[in-house]
Amino acid sequence: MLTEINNPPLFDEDSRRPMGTFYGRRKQGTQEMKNTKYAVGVVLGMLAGAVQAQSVDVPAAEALLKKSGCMKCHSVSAEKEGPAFKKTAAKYKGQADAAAKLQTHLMSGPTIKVDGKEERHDIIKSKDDREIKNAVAYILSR
Amino acid sequence: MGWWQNLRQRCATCSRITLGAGVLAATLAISFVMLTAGAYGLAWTNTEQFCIGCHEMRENVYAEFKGTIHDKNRSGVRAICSSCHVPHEPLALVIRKMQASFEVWGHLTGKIDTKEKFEKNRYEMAVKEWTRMKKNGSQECRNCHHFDAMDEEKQTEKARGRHAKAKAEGTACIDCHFGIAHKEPDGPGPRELKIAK
Repeated sequence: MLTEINNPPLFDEDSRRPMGTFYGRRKQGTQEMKNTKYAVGVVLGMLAGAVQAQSVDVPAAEALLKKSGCMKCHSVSAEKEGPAFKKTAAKYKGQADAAAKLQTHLMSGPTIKVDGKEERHDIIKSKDDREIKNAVAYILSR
Repeated sequence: MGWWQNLRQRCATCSRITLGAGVLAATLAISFVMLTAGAYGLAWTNTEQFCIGCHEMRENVYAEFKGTIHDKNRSGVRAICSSCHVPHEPLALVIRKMQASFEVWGHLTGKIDTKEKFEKNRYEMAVKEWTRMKKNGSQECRNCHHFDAMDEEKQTEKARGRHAKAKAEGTACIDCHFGIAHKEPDGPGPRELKIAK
């Protein structure tokens, strides 16, 4: 196994077999099917990525977060008074109600602890549900 | 003193005092011209025009800086590149300028001449600047923002608390106020940098 990884064969064994033989066709067919499946997978993956990317308007989200003063205590990837968005995204990863939970957190001004002292979390400065949802999606996709 | 004898031979009618005064005046005049030219040169390298003379700065960090509070605000007081990135104290300024001349090498070799290359090196460059700003206690911020001159009444309760803590612990401004004029680089921030003070 190791030898094979270190010294990959120079010729493809299959390509040496004459085309048209049963073995050759069968092998080629299987490979084609695999390729098709792979291609479908790639296209689906790209579509999913595109849908996700399309659903977050990054500049709008960043502008709202800045306007709301979020960046005073939070950052995308660095440590500050509040957790980094990447940390929040990791915390909520895989949770179906992540967006709803985070939206409530941003809109209700819950009591939080900073340096052992209790304080009220600021409320996001927008009344537009779509704008807030976009900011939530932005945070969760970091 | 061969040059002195030579000078005296050239002007046999001049007295020693006249010649001496002439030499002194010439030395002073040349020194004055050189010092002024040097000061102008240094000041020129501190202008916004000089900094954005290269596309690496103009199209990346400068474009990000445009529109931020340090670029445009209600009172029109601006902090340009050198206000934050070049020490104002003369000796530190000259040392930083000498270091910067080595950075010109990066420009000549095209280290960050494309958007991709710039992004690839953004974090490393940010860490360098954060380190400098942490080591000098964010002196360039404090050239304008004085802790003692802050009107706490006008700050939010949260800001008051955070500043009091920063003052007590001697935290540098950059520990919290990073990514305010340029895009935040992807990675641990200044607070996570372990730097011996």
